[in-house]
Amino acid sequence: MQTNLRSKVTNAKPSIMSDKIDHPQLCQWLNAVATSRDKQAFTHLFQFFGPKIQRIARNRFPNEAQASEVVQETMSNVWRKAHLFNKDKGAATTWVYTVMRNVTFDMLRKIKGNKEDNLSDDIWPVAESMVSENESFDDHLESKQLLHVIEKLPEAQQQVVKGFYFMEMSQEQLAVHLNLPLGTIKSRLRLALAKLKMQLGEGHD
Amino acid sequence: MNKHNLKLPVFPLPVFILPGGITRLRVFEPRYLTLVKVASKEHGFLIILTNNDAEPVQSKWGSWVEIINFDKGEDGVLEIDVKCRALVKIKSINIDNDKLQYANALEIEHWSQKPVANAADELSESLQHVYENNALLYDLYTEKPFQNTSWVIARWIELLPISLSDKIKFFRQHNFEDVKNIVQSIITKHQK
Repeated sequence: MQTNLRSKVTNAKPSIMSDKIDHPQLCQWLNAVATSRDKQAFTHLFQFFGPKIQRIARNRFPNEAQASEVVQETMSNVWRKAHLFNKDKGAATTWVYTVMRNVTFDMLRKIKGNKEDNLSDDIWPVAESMVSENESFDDHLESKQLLHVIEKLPEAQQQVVKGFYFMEMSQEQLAVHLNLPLGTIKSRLRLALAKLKMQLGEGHD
Repeated sequence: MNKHNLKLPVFPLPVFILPGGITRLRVFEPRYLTLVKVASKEHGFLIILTNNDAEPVQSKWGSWVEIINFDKGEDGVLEIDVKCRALVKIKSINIDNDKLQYANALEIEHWSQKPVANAADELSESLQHVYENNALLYDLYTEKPFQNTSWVIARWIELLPISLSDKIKFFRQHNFEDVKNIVQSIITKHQK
């Protein structure tokens, strides 16, 4: 009885993927949300993904409310970021589960405070197993995740962390450094960029 | 000039770095810890520029960097110092078994790799001042060739407060004099 139950639990995970998934349909819905803010399409997406996300999230969080929060947050990100989905780069399911994964990381970080460095992919066997091989959203969404985290740090710390990632000065720092008014810096930068653009010619980016 | 075909793991980051540039990165995503392992055994890795919203800015160019130092930050996170060796043109990107992206790339020549002696004193002094007031920059660069104008200009471009999507234009601008004039038009204190 016991073993039976246990194997049932482990089998429950892959079964999410074994459902027949109409990928082109999902892509079409996402596309409709992205291009025409189609509420009907979004409803379909919600009906498809909502229960799945709820079920996965329920394994990660101690109560139903938090799992629901993951659903809400994920789906509102899907609504807002649908335009970032590119069907040439991976399946719609992969993309949505990546969004979900990031939402979950965010929440786990909130809960666990400074322990985020303990989080590793191995606590995410479910989401990982859904990530297809040619997955590229994953990367930038993950770095995006990092930026969210940075934004939540106190100002002083933010400076240090940003210093690592973004070597550049702010316009204010440059103005102070050169002992020039901020307006002068801004107009010089604008002129310089216009010049650069002219040198390179248009339409090559 | 030897131009080899390179196969390098890719780290997408909002970091604009030109040859000779050094920066410190914090690495905690397991996948990128793998990248560090691969990169330190082989020939470094490629930074492909994303914007501050972590969306890719372009995928034609990359900065080929080597790990020159590593340490554990106060919070236990791995910190690596990387130095840009050259710019590359990307031919294709594939995903490998370890889920890392690998780029097939070709090294390109860039003005920032050719030393030019003392051609812009004011920019050198100004940059020196920045380094003296920024402990991290000061420590990262064990060598600070302020007399090499192309090095100075490359470092200034990295520091300039302009968007990353504008910065990539400096990958494409190969005329050193033009680049120098542009940076001077921003940094020079009193313009003629």
